[in-house]
Amino acid sequence: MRAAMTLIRYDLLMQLRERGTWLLLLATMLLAGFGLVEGARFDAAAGAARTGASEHERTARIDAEALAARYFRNPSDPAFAGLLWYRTPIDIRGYAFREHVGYAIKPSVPGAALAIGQADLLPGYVRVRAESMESVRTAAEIEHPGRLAAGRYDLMFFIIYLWPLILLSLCVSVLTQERESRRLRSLQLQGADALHILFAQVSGRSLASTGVLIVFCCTLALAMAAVPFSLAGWRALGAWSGIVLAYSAFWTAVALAICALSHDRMNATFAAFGAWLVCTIVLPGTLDTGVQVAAPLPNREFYIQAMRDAGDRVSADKLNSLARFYDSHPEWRPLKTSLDKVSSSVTRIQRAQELEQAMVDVEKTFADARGKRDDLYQRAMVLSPVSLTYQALSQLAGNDQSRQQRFLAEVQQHQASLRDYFQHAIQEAALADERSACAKTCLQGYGFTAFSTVPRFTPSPMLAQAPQATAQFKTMFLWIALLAAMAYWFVKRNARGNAPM
Amino acid sequence: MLANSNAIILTPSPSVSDTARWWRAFHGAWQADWRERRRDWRVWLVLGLGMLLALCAGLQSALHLQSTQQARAVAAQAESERWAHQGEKNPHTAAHYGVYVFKPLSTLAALDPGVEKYVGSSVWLEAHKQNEFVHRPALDEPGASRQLQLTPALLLQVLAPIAMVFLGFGLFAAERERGMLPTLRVNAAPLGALGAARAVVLICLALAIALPACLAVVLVHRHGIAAQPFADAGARLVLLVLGYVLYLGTWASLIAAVSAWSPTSRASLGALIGIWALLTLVVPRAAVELAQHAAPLPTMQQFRERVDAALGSPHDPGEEERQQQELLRQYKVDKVSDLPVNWSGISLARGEDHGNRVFDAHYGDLFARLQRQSDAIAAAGWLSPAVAVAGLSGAAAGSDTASHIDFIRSAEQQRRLIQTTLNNAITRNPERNGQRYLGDRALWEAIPPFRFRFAPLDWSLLLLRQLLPLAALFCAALGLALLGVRHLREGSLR
Repeated sequence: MRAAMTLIRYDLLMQLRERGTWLLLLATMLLAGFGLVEGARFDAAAGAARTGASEHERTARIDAEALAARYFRNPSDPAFAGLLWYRTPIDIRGYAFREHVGYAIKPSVPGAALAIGQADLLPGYVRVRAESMESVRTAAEIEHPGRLAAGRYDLMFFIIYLWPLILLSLCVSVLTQERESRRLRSLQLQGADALHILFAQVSGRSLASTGVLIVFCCTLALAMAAVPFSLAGWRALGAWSGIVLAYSAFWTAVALAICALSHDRMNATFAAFGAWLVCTIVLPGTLDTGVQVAAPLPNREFYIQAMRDAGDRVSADKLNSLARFYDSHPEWRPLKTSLDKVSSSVTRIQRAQELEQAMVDVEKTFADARGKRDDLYQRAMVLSPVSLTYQALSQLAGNDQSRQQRFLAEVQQHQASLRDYFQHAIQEAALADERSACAKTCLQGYGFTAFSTVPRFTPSPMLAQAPQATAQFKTMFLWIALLAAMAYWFVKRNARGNAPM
Repeated sequence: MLANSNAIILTPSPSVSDTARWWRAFHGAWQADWRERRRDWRVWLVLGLGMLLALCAGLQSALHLQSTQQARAVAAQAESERWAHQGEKNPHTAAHYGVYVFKPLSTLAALDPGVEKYVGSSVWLEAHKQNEFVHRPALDEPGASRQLQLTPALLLQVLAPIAMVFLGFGLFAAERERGMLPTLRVNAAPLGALGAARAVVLICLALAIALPACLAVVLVHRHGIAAQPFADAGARLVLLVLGYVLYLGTWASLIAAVSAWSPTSRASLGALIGIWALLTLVVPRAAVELAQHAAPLPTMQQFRERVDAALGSPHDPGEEERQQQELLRQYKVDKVSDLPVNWSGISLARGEDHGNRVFDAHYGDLFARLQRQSDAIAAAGWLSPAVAVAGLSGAAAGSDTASHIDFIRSAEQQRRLIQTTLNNAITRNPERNGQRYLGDRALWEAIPPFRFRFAPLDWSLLLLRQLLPLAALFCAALGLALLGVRHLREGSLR
């Protein structure tokens, strides 16, 4: 152990004397720092957008309350002469289908700035409409499509793609340089073991450089308040450091295997970069292609056609379905109006529900196909350490797809309660209107003032917590062990075979 | 990959002109390099791996294109029939019934899918609203798959250059390392011809890597069902090929330059990997991030709020009255109900005009901001040939942001055409005896079906944004390579 520590200390001192090492460390700090700054900027902009949405909801409610107070105090005020019932919040029909402003906002987690992940593609807030989930399903934040296609430059991009290049550059000279300069034999004669040199120097360089990276990023993240200075913030940074350490350990193991196998630095550099290419581009790309071929999704054009067909069927069966609806809700059946004369604004939610019902099978087809693809991808991902790390870092930042799915599931529950609320209010108002028959919107009819009782979205405590890395990430350690074992075997084989050292 | 230099050491002959001698040296070096590379297992490894990846990328991209083209053609046909067979109804009801239109894809989009996965593929055209494009294909993919996605474009822009680096880092550095440089100098070997031959071999190898992807796409094109949405498909193809040859030429020159200036093969490889990572990985992403500062975009909530506020703002109530009075005077009647035209059609048309002005103002501003960001990204093409060629490739394939905006505008024009036709029909047919006018198939079919074709390439813009930076970088790399050759000829042997 003492000998290993001496080897590491000596090697690190030698490294620090090299200009290349300092240049690589400088490049690390610049590139990682830029990634963190961009991640923090994105997170701040996303936070501002969420605040804006929340503020919009609040001011819309206050404005609606003020308008309702003014209107119902004196409905015949000339100021309200041009008021259109379908375009005002004081009429329940106008409010439910047009003027109601309600957002579901996905809470941010402390490590959000550490990885943009899928956050630029998956909206962090959605406007929820009483009528259907369509506004939620098709919600998107405005982004330059070129930016989405090129991918973001954030800390995760640096860690996943650039950090391994730097790490490999720092490590490929271990043992290979000694072999090249024929110093290894003399070192061995002095009692140094090739295996010890390899493991001690590669681990030492890797651990030291990873330590520098982690300390730099954590300090910068806290200094620029990209991560809050709180227990949750420290936990996020701790988890991030753990993932980075594990990922660095994987590349250290790659470097171990390469250095054990290569006879000179030239070949080691060649092999290291080849390994980088295979691990970061070829494996994830092949995985993606394989999964897409093995578990194809139906085209979205098919979904649109199915939706249009369902819409036509619902329209054609409008009266029958309305009769069924009032059979199941006799308390809302119109007193005087025949069903074919019931206003479309009164039956709008019922029609939306019918359409939803007609689309159940299609939705299930898509959900099943997508579930199958996701499941297959999750299982196949153990073959790609880079994909595992991408997922772990995205999860840590709360910017992954599975958290978005949980968010949408909660939004769906909220939308159902919102729809039920408005359905109840509109049907009751329609009955009251039949009885009183106001010429204009009135409180005895469609008039609405109970804005504070409209359901609002509250995320579950689970959604506000930083998610844990999935069990698949543990397979990273299998990869590390496998590569380290390979390195061990290569060195031993070389020693047995008296290969040129 | 170390090239054999024995075959290009020529004895100068006084009877042969310099040009002929240069070409003979070029030819000799070319043959020697090919022979040497055929014997090198590492070349076969890089080529084999590259071609396998290209085949995967090409097949996946081509098959995806084919199924998408088919699905869109079927859906467009179904929508067209649905529209024509919607039965008799009031035209405004038909306007709300609306129609979906689908973005056509060109075969070239299989080579470079560009932004296609990140923008919606269809839009619902209905009365009063300019709807957003929906169903972005990227949302249907597993999250972690959104990394450097394997496409022919990635292969040509990112992987082909690194394959060239692998195959060419020892272009000159190996000569120096093996001590061949003094021999070459003594024999007055034309090092420029030697470098040019080896660089051309590199480009050919890189193109060979991309060949399976191109063949897969060509095969799909031959069996394709959809017509190409371009009037200038040939010019686009030529531009694409020229752009990539220039791009790969830039890399070949850069590799020759770095190899000539580097003291060892290892130093050459290290420097080239660093340059490759910077130019193909860091600069393109950093450019799209920094481009946000050129013209910040509003959030969707801000944008919608502004559009809704503008749409909801009452238009001049006096204007409606003035228009009504003018009509009454024109037709010499006292009441709106006596007019030979339908007032509600005129009113609807005015509402649409108001909406169109709002959409033009807000979407116009948004698109202008997107364009300014695109311009800022294109400016990074002066730093990285990967950025320049990506812009060129996307524009030629019709899969860039500008082409998508072009489609959005065209779809919106179709929406307005539908609304105008239907509102005119309402206007021409006033209510008689309380009976509203009902449109029929003849009216629905009076609206021409939506057939989108991309606008011809704007060569002046392309020249300014992509071709000039690409050509400038090529010239710079070539200049560096020539300086490197001079350095080899006259500089230190070490």
